Amino acid sequence: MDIFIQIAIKIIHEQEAIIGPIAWEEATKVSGFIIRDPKKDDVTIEGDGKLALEKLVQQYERLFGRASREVCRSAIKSLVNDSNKESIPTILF
Amino acid sequence: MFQVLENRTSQDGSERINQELYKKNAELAFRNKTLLLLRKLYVDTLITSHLKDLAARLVDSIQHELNPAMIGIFLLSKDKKLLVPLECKFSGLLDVNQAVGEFDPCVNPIVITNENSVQQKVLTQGQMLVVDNLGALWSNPLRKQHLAILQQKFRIISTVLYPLNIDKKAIGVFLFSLDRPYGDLSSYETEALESFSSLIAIAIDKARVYEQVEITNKQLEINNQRLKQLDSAKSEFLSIASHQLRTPLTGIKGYLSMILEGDYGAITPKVKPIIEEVFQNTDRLTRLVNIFLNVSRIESGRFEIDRKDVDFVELTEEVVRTLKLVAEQKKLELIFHHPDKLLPMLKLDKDKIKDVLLNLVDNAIKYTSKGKIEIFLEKFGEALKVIVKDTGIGIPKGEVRELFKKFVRGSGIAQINTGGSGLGLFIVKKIIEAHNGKVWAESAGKDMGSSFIFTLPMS
Repeated sequence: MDIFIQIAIKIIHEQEAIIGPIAWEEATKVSGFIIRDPKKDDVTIEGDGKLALEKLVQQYERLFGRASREVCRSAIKSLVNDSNKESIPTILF
Repeated sequence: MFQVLENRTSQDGSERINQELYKKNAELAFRNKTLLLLRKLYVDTLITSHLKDLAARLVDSIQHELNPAMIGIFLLSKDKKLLVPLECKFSGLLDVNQAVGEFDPCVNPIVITNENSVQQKVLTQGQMLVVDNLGALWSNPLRKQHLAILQQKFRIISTVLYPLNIDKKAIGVFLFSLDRPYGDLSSYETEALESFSSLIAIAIDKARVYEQVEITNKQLEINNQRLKQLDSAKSEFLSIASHQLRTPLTGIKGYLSMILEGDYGAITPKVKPIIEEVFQNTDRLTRLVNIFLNVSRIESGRFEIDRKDVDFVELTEEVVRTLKLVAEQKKLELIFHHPDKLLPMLKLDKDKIKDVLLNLVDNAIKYTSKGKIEIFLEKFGEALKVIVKDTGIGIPKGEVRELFKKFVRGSGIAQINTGGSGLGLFIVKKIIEAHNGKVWAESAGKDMGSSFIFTLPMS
């Protein structure tokens, strides 16, 4: 699975644990994200994955403040490594 | 314009509420995650009790859920000078081998340098401690720079050490590195870390006790095996030695008997008591050898029962005839109470059962200084019950059950009969049990007389 999709799903799941299904609803509002079936984690990203991730984090932050960005950062820690960290938006570090 | 301001204020208010609600929900979500993790850790402690495996499971579970840059369980060495890594890991953020390089803190013990060292404070004060740099823990000056680079690579901002306390004594530490200052942690996050360290301490202590028990059990098993081999060698030796002794003894006894009978001519009155004494001692020696032979047969499983029809009344009369004189010499009455009803013939190994009755009556005579010895035969359901009752020294209450064990002699008996082997009643029990019977002793206590009772199935 594409690393951007893996990270996006991880972030949405972590947000879902806090705010419930709204996490998926908000993700559908982010341009570039196509969510077909939240129950099956059926997510695709069209266009620039890095930009789409940044917008996703900002979408949550706009609604729920700085704390939501920390949640996103914490969520993706286990997925980031030396080889892929260049492609991750700086907002997540 | 007022309407616009009002809308903006209202929007700001709901944003703040949203954000506060989010924070509360985030806290609840974290607490929920902590509870689930604690449950998982608890399950880990149930799944494995092997110390190293358990530590690996606990560290893996916490790392999987919280992904700290570095996490470790270090145990205090016996000399209390080192904290030895039991399990320690860096996060998968980097290629660990490449990133860690020449000095891996996860495999190097933490040396407890002096009384004022940070490590010592955690252990003695039993409180958690936060360090900003790993160099404060692995205090080798040559490694400080390496550790600083390592810390930067893994983005470690602070490292928390929790003592693993059992009964207020530290058995080690739980190390957890953070990517932010410890002060930035919320109260629920610090509570979670404390809970993990408490659970780890209990789990590790339990696993250590379990491992110790396992080691002791293995040692006991080995010792037991050795004892069995020694016992078997002893029995073998006893059997061979007894056989070798019995043959010449039979010859000696025979010749002594012939001398006493006058087959080699008259012996002087001065020599006669000496020959009689030698004969009696040889007889005693023969009986002892026979006892040892019986014991070695019992223990090697070569103790065979040859059953034939036996008239038990007749057998008892033979025993009474044999020992009547001995009892009379001690001015004791030896009374056989014949049964009221006719007893059926019993399928028994006559010689061995006769040995049993001889042994019990002989003991009764030995340990009775005045009064009488009575023998009763009774029907006891489908069994024959034989009672040998005396008015002798009795048996202290605590000793009744022990008497039938090998080499056990009642207290006070040694003074009366110095030559006993402590094997007579052991053999009695084995013979009776080989006939599917039971044997036991009863006594009201010291100087109150005693009864030795055995049963034999009549069918």
